[in-house]
Amino acid sequence: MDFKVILGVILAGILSNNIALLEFLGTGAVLENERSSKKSLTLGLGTTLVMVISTLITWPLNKYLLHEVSYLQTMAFVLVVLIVVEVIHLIAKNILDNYCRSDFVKFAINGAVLGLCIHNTHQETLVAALINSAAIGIGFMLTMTVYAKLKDTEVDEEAIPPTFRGLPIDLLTAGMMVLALLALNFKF
Amino acid sequence: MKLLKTYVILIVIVAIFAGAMFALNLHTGPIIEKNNAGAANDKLNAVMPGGSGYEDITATLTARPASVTTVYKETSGLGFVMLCTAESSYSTAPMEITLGIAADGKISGVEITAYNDTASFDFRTKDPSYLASYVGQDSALADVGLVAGSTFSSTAFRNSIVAAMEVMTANNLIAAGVKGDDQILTELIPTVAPGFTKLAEAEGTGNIQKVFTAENGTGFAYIVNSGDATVLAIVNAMGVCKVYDVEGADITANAADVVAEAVAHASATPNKFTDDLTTKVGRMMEGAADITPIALDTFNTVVSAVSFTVDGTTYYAFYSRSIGFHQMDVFFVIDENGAITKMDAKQFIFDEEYFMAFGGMDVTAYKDGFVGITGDTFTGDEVIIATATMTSNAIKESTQDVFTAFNALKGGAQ
Amino acid sequence: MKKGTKTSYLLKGTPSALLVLGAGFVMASSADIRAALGMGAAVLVAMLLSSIVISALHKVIPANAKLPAYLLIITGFVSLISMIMQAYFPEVVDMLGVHLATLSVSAVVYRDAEEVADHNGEATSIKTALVTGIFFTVVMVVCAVIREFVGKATLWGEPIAFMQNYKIDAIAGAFGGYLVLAIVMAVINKITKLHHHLDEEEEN
Repeated sequence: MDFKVILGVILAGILSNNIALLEFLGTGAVLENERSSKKSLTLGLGTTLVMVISTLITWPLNKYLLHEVSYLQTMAFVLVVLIVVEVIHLIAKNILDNYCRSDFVKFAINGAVLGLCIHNTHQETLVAALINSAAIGIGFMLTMTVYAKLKDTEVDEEAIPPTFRGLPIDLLTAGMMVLALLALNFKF
Repeated sequence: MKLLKTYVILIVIVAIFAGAMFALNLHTGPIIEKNNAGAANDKLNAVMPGGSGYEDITATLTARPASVTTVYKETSGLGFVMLCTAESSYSTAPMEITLGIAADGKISGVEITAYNDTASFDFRTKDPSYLASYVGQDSALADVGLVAGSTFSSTAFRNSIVAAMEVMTANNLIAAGVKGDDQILTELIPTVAPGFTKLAEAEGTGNIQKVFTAENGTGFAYIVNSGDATVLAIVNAMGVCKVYDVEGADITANAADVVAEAVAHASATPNKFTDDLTTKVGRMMEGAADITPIALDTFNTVVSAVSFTVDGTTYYAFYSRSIGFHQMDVFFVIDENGAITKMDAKQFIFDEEYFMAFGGMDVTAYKDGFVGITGDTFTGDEVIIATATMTSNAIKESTQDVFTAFNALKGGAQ
Repeated sequence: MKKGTKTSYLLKGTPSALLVLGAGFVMASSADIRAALGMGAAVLVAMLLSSIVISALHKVIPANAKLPAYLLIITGFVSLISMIMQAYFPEVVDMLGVHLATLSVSAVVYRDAEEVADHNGEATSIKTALVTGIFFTVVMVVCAVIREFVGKATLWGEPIAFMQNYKIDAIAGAFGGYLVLAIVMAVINKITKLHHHLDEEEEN
């Protein structure tokens, strides 16, 4: 795989394949996120790491062990993600806790990670799966950071109709980001 | 100890659920497997209603053309499903076709799963009932025509179906359909009159059953009742008629009545090709005199031919109407020795983006490139215009047809 | 509201807080009514079963094993449900795709299990699970009706003839998910706020 292809995959992960906004995986985690953009960036980075390491385990696991018992896939993948998150948490406890206490564990186990691991089983090779994970992870991280920054911005609450305050306006904000991404994709 | 308890509990939870899933899978596994198999069959069942299972028999077939990619046999004996491709000059990629043939040799269904020709020429939009017209046909495809305005694509599609049916009959999997006389004669037209393109069909009068009019004005074809037999009469734009029987034999000499009727019908629609050619000769060759029309028995794209003299030297001019991206009007002047003296075409100003290269093309040099070429030295490379393949091919066809016409003329004169 | 019992976000009258956690699967499965109903049923059953099991087991499970144990129990139920759905509603599973599996790690099911089953008796947890599950189903189906009708000009997969020329593809797409859910949520906010006022009046 040459450099251009890798760059393309990474750009796609950030833009056209954006997992949280367009694929609705881990959307809840992004929308619910109330942390500062700096904390979000750290969490996102951690999640990216979880995605890559989980894929490193789940892809071979699926290919060599689970093809006969595909009904165990979700259970096995959740177990892998759990272990990976716990191990990363143990190793990086000091760094992480400075920023975001222990909610890393809860946060990193989200639909985006599991969904990505399942998606990646369709990749031809482990290398392709890993690159895709990194790309999607970076996309997830950026989405979270940008969205957190947007939420940090001061807005005039009075300008929003009362019934739209809270989740509806959050959804519309995310919807605007989706529109921008879709415009790049030429598919509304 | 506490940690151990944690692990034990987690392991127990996983084990219980894995066990439950294993037990459930004993029940759901076969159903899921059946569902998945059903999904794969859906595509095939779409053209083979009621199909239960399929077996790939592609490898067992002989004489399989490249357009037939896969052949399935329906396991309960309902028939066959074939995956085919078709490619026309407008295809960006081959069209993908799923064709169902029932055991009695009749088409049970046909679907296009990928259409890669120009969307505006999509014959499914031009004639929504076109695909349905194939259903119930046997390998003779007697009641299936082409779609006007989408001739290239529908021809490619029809040819692919014909090729698919041929494989099945050749392998004795289905019985060949019996063609009627008029169908055999209709299918003879492209062979005996290759210049007649985009035929429009109409009902005839008197002994004439059917009239086919070539859209490019190259002539008419008639299915005519002649006594007990049915024959094919073709009349070119120069008013020359030939008659063929169902065996494909030329019976013009014995069919004066048919010739008379066909020529009478054709002359009811006079053409102005000779007038156009006469005007064009006047412009192309200064001092042209004694312009005399010639009637040739060629049935290609040549619609008119004249002889004329310039300062006592005899020349011949030909007018060919071939079809490229559009209808082409190509003119040639050939001297006594068979060498091209002048070449011209009406369509050297193209507005289609397809011919962008024409904007920068040196038209004069291109035309001059033909000068001196004879039927023996023409290779076809002279006509090539980069990025304008279809136009190039049309000009190539015209050039070849004109040399054929010239040879017919010389052969007739000798 | 009864004193001394922790109730879910929904029973407390703030469905927004709960819906935000499930926004992903709500939007993913609300493009088609069948998908919405399938996902709704899966959410409902998964929550119900895991709440019951977790509330029965929470005393046995040590504190440090809570998260993995709860997650694995939920995953187990979700897997079982998805196996049954795969067998009997394969089209729905195709439409939901990976979202059915990711339900196992959905914060909706997890937090509900954690906050309710952990602290209450089984009766309350069943009630909470039912209410939450039905709430999600209703939201998804309402969104799905709008998105199918306006975006695809179909209802339950059946084409609606007079809408064919007026359909807006974007509503069935990703952006439509956000837009329609936002509007539906705004309407829900309006309704629940009315209820709040009534409650307050009663209390006064």
